[in-house]
Amino acid sequence: MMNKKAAIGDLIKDNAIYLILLTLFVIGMFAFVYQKKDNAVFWEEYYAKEIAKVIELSEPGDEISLDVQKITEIASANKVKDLNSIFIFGDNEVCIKLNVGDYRSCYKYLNEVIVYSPKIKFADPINKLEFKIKEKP
Amino acid sequence: MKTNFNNFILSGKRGQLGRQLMIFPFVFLLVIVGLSIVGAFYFFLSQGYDNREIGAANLAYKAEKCIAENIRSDSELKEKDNFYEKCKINKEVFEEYYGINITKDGNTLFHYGDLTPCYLRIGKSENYPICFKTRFHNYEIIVSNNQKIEVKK
Repeated sequence: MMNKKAAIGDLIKDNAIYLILLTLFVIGMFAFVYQKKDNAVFWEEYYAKEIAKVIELSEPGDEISLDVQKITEIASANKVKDLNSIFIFGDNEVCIKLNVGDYRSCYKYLNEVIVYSPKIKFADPINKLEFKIKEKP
Repeated sequence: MKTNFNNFILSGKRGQLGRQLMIFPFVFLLVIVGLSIVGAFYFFLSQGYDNREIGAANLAYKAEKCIAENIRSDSELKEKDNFYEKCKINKEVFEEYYGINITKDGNTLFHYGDLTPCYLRIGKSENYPICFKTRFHNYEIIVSNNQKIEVKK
């Protein structure tokens, strides 16, 4: 009995380095997969490009309402507190920010228009982004 | 005398060295498995969303609509900057990413940018612009678009 216990102890001691390496590897892979599971970078690009294309096909005076349920869910999972800060409309540019850092993905549109009063309408029955299109002065 | 499996096969100093060297195949295996997981993620999930063809088609549609509604004569289109003003297109954005060639009966009315890739048989590539070609009445419009997403701080 004592011999068996000692043998198991020796086996663990001899293979400790393998176990430590394996544990570090599993933790590293889990962290990598967990970090990538939302694919937030892809969704930033997708929404920036799609919103820019919608603006390009719009005319001054149009009121636009878009389904943004998916992107608001990703932003919430990424701990973005103010969901209205996801969408940033600049000079001929749409930017999407799905992280708490400073980085954002931007795409430009061709129209000589400006986007004004953008706001998210929550649970209506899904989250919607609403904004209006105005001609550039 | 140790009684584990490795000691059973490898005994003495040479055996100990052999056992220590066994870590290299193990680390190699971990590296291969890790690279496969990371590679699979990048291959399947990090491919961007390419809508340059839709962007080029949008511009071609806008040019077509503009010619039909706002351009009274072909000479109007030939005048510098008339295209931007009449078609309400932002000049800076257009000149940075797009190219266009508007012809009527083979004569060029408006041209901007290098459209060479549009005439070559290049498959879809990140490095070359995507082109869109349309015809209406006697006009032919070729548009190239090479706008990509910009990550800003």
